[in-house]
Amino acid sequence: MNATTKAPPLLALKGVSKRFGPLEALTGVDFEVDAGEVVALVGDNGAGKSTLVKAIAGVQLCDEGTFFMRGTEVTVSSPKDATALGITTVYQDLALCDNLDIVANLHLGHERFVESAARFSGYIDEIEMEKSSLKLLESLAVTTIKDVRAHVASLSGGQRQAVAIARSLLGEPSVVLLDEPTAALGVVQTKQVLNCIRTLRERGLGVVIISHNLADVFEVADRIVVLRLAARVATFDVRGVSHEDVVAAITGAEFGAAPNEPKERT
Amino acid sequence: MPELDPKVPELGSARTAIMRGVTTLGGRGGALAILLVLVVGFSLTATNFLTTENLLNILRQYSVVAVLAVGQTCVIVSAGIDLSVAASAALSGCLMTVAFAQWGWPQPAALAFGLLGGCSVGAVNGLVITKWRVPDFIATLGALTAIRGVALLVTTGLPVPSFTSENQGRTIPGIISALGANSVFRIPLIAIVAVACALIGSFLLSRTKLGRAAYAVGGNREAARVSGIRVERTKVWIYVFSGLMAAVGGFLLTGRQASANALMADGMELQAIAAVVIGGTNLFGGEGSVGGTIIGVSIIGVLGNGLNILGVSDFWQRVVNGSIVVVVVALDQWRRRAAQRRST
Repeated sequence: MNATTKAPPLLALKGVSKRFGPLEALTGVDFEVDAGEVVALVGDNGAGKSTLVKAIAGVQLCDEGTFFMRGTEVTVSSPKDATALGITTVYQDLALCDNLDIVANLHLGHERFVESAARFSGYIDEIEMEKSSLKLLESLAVTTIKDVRAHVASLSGGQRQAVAIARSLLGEPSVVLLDEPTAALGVVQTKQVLNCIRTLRERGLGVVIISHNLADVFEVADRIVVLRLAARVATFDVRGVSHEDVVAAITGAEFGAAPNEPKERT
Repeated sequence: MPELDPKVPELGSARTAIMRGVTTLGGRGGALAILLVLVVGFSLTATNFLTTENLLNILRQYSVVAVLAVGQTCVIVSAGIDLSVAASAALSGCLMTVAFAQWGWPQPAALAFGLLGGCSVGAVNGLVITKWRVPDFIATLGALTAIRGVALLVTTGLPVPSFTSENQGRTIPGIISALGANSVFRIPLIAIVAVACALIGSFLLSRTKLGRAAYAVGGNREAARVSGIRVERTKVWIYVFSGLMAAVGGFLLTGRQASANALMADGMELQAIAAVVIGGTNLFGGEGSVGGTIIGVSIIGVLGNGLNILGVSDFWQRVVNGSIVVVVVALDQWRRRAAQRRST
């Protein structure tokens, strides 16, 4: 989009640290994502993936570290800050309201109002919201959802994920964080979700996915960042690396001795 | 999961959704069926049940419950419960009457004072629940007792207007007594006010940001929070609305009795909650509608009235009223489980 290849990364974090009492969850981690790039954040349980994503999303603040958006230093101290900067998060549990329909979920917290009605009454414009819902799902190439008035409770896992991703796009974000987007999905549904993620990349968004599923990571990611024991231990270009290398980095078979030395990417 | 409609509904399916909501009354025709059975049954068995005079009588008797139940619906949809509505109604009626009759305030000021009283109770409930993390049930249970106490203090335990104190022969405000006693085309004004409240409540719940937030908070509090909905603020405003409805209910009751007292509307909070639940609102939040609640109130009203005409003793009526709430919720739970089984 407006970011050129020479420009500083869309989002960059420098020296992020976080402690939970005696436990070091992140130690001086750098992280960056470019526009039009899918970065996979991988690592074993407790490696610090979720902590890093929560810090970016403003849900859980880090103790140290600086954030840069397109080279400019910014502060993220609340989810609202993150949203204002164009960073949006799709949580693993998706944070959907089963009791509401797709239109309501897509616009939750961002309802549109009938303009002619007095503003204070907050008169919801259902027709306009339905229009934008159809447009949103269409732009994500979601073809499996036939009725945007269906209650979310009646959707399949893949459809729910699609709704959650679609909702994250409502505020025209530039960075989308996805926490385990393909967990507990079947083969076909996983494919649909990965397609959604590719669509995000094509739209020039910076995409960060946390995943345990290396097959999915290799299918959709451009770059793989490996966290181990609260530190960033490796970065791979997905085209020049094998499953084994990534697994070795995750488990520490190769880099275990010096977890603080990031391996240069290809 | 049942297959979704094969035809892609274009625009206007919003309207369809609204119509769906209206026709199924929040997903349940069950309550409507019960109401019809009751009406038909009493028409056949109870003489003078199906007369205009008697039906208007039911309207008069249950309008106050309906108004309280409208506020209660909003609270329960947001996964709360307000046990203090009847006490708030009594307090509001007392404040308004004391201000007007005892203190000699002008009519609009007295009315505003009463409304403010109801809204304040709601605001306090909401703040205690959200800021002090007291469970809704406990907070409003405490409020129920405390507010009756405040009302007793305000009225010194006497019905107001009290002719023992130094008032200038003032009674309740004229507009309130007119509401309680007058009719338009034979429809009691009190019922018209109740319908207006129901329409306002229905609009609030289904068409406004606050209402949508109430459903979201009631359905999935965490999802609502991460979606940027201010959960605490939503809860406080919903309780304020419930307090406002309670105040209106208190005014109507005062008008009907031409007097207010601290202990009036006794037990009405349970009637209101029963009406909401019978009307299909999920006691755990996230689902429900004012339309359903109105059917619920109608069921309670028709049942009470019909049993009275049939000469069933009040003792038995209590048994019946209590049982019907339990049975309706049990049926609803069964329906939900059946629906879940079908969808998996």
